[in-house]
Amino acid sequence: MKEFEEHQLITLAQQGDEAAFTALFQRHYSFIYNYLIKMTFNPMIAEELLQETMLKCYLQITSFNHQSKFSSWLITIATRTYIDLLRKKKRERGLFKRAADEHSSALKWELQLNKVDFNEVMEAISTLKPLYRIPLLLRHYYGFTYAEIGEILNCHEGTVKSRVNKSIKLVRKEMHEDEG
Amino acid sequence: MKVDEEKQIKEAFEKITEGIERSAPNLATLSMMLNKKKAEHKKRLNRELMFFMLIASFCIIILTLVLANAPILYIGIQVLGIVAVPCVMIWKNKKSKQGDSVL
Repeated sequence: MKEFEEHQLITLAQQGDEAAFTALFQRHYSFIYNYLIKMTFNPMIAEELLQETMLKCYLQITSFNHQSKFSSWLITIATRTYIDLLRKKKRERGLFKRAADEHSSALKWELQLNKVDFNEVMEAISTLKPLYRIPLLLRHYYGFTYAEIGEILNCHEGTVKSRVNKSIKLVRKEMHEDEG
Repeated sequence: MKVDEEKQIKEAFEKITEGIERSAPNLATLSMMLNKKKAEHKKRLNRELMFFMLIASFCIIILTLVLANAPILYIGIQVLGIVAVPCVMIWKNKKSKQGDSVL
């Protein structure tokens, strides 16, 4: 029933119905925000990306062909938007990194407020570069296949595999450094 | 070992999901947000278009002047040179003074 409704909303949104689009996006709002938080570890950037993702979805909704889940399509758009943002901010990397550091402590604070401990694994994941964190998240939390991640990130399956393995090694290294 | 680590990573991500509570805004707020983003997007596109047209017309004017061997082009280059030299000198002076004050 829910899927049928979603299919209907997508079709209406593709025909230019703005109300249908907002209703559709509202359904996935929490899902996409949660994804963005885990991808960026930064509530401020997640908020900015959420709005950009919404706009891109609105502008590109006609290209959605129902071959994948709508949520996967949203993840693809959100991930590519983040990669674009990182490229754009490459020049001001110092400034961007400082802001990222400040706001990852905002995430810690938000988690602690909800009585969730920011443990050493989270700490280790937060130190990973997005290049490694994104495939790790998509593979080990969302359960995408290497091929699917390759499609999302526009790179080869082999590259994704090696990045996921390297990210696990980096997390392990960071955890052992913390212990030692 | 690796399986354990993968499990720990998954759990860490799950805990973040649990710890972050963000409910979706109502439809009116979302619609307002979308309209704001659309307006920003339109403004950005217009700015890019204006910039493109400006550069294009500048190139066309320069090309026409070069092809027509117009004296205004050469006079213009000389005037620009005369104006640019003192500007660059002032800018360099300011920069070196700033460097001194930092040291």
